[in-house]
Amino acid sequence: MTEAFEALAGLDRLVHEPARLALLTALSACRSADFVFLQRLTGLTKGNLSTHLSKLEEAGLVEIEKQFIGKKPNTLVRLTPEGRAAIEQHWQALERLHRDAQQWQGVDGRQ
Amino acid sequence: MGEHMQNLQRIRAIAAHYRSLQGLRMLPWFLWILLFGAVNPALGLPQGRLDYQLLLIVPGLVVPWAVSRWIGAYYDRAFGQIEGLPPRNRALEALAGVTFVVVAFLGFLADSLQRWPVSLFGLVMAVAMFVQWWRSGRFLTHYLVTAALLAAISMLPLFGIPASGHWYTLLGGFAFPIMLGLVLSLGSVLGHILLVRSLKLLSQVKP
Repeated sequence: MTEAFEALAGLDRLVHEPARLALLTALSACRSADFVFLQRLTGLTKGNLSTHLSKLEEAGLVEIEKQFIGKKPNTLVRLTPEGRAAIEQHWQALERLHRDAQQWQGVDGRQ
Repeated sequence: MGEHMQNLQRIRAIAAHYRSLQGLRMLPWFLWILLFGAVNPALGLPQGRLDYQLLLIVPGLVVPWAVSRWIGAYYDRAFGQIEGLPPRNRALEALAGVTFVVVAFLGFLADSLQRWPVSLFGLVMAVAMFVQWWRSGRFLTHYLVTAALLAAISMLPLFGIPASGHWYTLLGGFAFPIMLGLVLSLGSVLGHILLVRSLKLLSQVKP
């Protein structure tokens, strides 16, 4: 069980924060997504979403591109290769932890 | 942890199949197919002669195309836009698309030339619907239902239906488009409801 706690402690906090994990998960399933989609998907306020995206951009996990579609501004977000690797590793770690947690439940149930 | 992971998986599924979930985008096309099936027998045109019908079909395509674009703009504005991941094998996808068109055309031609125990065109369309269900994440059940119904209708000649005449009289020009139009229209509305409900559910779980 100690190994599992170490694994939990070893999770990247920047990625593991629930809102950012949701954003990175969504972005990992597409090439790019715009600000409106990410807001609808996560239910975050504009301010909160901007803050989280800025943190991810500073860490080099996402790229943000501001453009105009017609006369309307549009913010496009995509994962960088580092971001894609980070979220994939994170998901693998989460799934390992989930499996371990189920095994402990099985052990507890037998005792 | 379980619920959190479930929500993350839901987020991933919506992002991966966002286009397929925008059901209303395709609704004008499905309603058009339904309308075609409904008015086709009443037009009294020589059955099985697609050249006459093309005169009506081609101008009629402008309306669903325009409405579909307008609905697409609504989705982009209200729900946002994403660019999907590129297909894993672009050449294979293109080859599959071309193969489908050729096989569907050959099926239609074969059905038109001779009465077979099954409708070959219907079976090709059934396979296409099954593939569409598989590709769109296996949760858009209406494509699977459509595939099963198409396969079933294609078998009707085995039971002597239509009793006489060209296959197109009952199957190609009526049963296929009516069934396709009805089930896919209903399915596309359900797809839209699924999208709206999933987004609402996720936005209530504050990260």
